Amino acid sequence: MSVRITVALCCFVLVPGMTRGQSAMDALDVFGYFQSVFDHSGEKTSIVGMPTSSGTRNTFILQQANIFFRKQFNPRFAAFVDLEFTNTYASTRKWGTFRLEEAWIRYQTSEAFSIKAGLLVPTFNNLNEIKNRTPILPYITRPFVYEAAAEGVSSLDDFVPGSAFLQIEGAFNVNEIRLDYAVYAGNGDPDFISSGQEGQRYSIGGTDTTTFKLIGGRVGVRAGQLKAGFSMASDKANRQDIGIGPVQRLRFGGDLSYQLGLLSLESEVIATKEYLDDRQSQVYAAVARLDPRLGKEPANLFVYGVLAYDISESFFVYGGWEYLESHATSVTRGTMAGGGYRPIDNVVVKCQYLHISNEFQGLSSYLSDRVQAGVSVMF
Amino acid sequence: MKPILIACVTILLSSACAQAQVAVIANRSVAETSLTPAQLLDLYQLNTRTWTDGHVVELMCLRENPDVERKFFDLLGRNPLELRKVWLRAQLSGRARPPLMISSQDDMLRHVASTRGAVGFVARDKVQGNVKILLVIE
Repeated sequence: MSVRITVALCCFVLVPGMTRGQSAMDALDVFGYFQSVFDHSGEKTSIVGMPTSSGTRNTFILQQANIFFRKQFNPRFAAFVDLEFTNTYASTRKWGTFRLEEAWIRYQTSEAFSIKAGLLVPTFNNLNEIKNRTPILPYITRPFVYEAAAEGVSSLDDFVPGSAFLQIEGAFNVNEIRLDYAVYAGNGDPDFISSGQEGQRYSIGGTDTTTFKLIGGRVGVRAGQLKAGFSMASDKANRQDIGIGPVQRLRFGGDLSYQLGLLSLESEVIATKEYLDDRQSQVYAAVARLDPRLGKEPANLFVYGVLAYDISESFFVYGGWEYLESHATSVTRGTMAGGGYRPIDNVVVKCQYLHISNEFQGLSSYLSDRVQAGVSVMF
Repeated sequence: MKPILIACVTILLSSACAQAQVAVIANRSVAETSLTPAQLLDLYQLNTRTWTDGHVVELMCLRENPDVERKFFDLLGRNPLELRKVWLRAQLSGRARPPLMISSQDDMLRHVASTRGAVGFVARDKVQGNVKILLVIE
């Protein structure tokens, strides 16, 4: 019975374009998902020398909607396009964002070698590629650095590379162990990319104005139910705002996932560091004295872990913890707990409690408690 | 009387055994003549997406047949939920197409017989001559 229900659930990965007798190469696959959320949050902000402010908020939001197109031209060539809408997108009201998240073609010679060209989300740790795929994720609000809906609040690009244009990847078996790799290249930090706004007559929007590029990669290993990997990305951060120009930046990541029966663990660590030369260090220190937000050094650390348990084929629960240290001055901690229910194949009803606390050099603190309920629908 | 009784029991047991067997079947265009459990797991984890002759693997998965499914997933050594997550991730990251879900063994036989590169599974005693058997799960 349980197997029957479980496998029945699998039908929500059915491809709409596929009918009897068709092969993968016959059809253009069109599919997508959205996640709608109700969020209740209570917040308290304390700043030294000022009265504490607090408040609550209740809001509905269409957190995420994505539409995909996939075409397998032949065994070697496949193309993929991902259109993404966030935060109840409405251009007339200037709500949310709409963007071409991915558009790439893949040429594959074997399992051990394929090349993707076009706009793509590069492989960095376990979650980066699928951070926006809400039907896969048990939680509603994602770990801090992956929360696309909060992109206006904190920059994802400080921690993980958001896009690349060329990626070589593959996997091969060595006895019982499966090894995989990915290396990629892309433009510099989005801050260097021309917006093509009025007044910039000679720059085309979306083009990189620099000569340096993003390069990075991941090596991974899978042994049975254990999956682990090490990631690295190198580019330059734009520090023009404080007068020191482009700064060499390295981002390192480690990921560990483990499945033990119905229990699963996913965890990651990300460390970023900007390398300043002597002149840049002096300027940075001088500016930091005036603006404490810059902190002691331009480095970040992020860690998270989520433990999930499938009670049955329909119900699951999870709990998680996350830690973010920014510029050695600001520390943000989060704890989450929640669960989900799949009433039918294509639908996941989720709930989540999230507690966030932030401390900034003893000068200010922020506390937030959020209760969320949402539904993730795949079509 | 005793030989008749033994014969009846033997027939019943062999019949039960035959029903319990599950066959991994493929379209006749598939070059492979057999699969190991490890190779089958690689197929259903979407690690292997082409046959040795270069044609795309068209995965099919039976649903609503708990006995057959249980035997199949037991051989793979994977919880169906785990595989569903693997399929979803592959689909949503554009890496591969998930298996086509088929709700009856007759349909499975028809789909596998008519789709180039197809592979699926049914009860052994359902198999007809228009597909090839790559593996029998006892």
